[in-house]
Amino acid sequence: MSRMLPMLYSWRPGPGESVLHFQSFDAAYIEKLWAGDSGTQAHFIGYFTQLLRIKLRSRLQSTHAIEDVCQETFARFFAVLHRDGGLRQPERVGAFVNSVCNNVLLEHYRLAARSDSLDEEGRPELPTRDADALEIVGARQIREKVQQILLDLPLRDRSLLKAVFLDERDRDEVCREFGVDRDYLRVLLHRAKQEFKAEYIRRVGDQSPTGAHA
Amino acid sequence: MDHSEAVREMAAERYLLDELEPEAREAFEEHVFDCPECALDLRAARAGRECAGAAHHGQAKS
Repeated sequence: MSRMLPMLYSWRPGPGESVLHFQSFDAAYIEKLWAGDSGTQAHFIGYFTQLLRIKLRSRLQSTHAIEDVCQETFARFFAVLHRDGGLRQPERVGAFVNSVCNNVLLEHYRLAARSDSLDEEGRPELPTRDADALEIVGARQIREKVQQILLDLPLRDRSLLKAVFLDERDRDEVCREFGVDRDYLRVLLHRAKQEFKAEYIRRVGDQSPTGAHA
Repeated sequence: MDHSEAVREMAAERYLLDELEPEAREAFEEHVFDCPECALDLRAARAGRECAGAAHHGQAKS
């Protein structure tokens, strides 16, 4: 990951971003990706950047490291795509991206362990911030809508979500304090998620290859 | 992990709550990268969570 990358795979969603529709992750999609179709490539990078960042946030300590692993994952993916002229199982492109990312992550851990042992100061990396998610939902209208969704929840549920996700308190301790179990917390998150999802699709659009929810 | 199992087990919620064992977490990740519906669920839930945080902080400041 220390080598120079040939290009930067960047993705910045906008509030009025148009939604791209594709048939599916299939041979035609991969063919367009291989041929360098800019719309397909933008969709691919946008779709998987979000998933990779969610995955990597639970494993890496800094946004810099997350971006590094994302970039390397895309670089290797496209290297394989161009070297082999396609993928053997186009419909499993997601699983392939995930597997490339796992390999890159392992190498990152090895490199990090090696450099940590050489780092006399042992300075910790800056904590991860969820910049991309905030970018996605940066539009004031969405924030207001989500705030409204939260305000519509009973006070206890609202306080519960705040304690878990905003204050990041220990889950078991929070459950004890509110007199609920972990199942309740999960169901509450599920209900809130359904509300968020409806609003998210309305504002940002469904970027799935089928666009089934758009 | 297949889609019906992911839905039945509320895997996206468990994933965001950090409740999955390492093996299950990896199985869910493998599935979610291949399943647009679960991917949408996860992205929306994560965005909602971050948005709620931003809204809360905005409220606290005002």
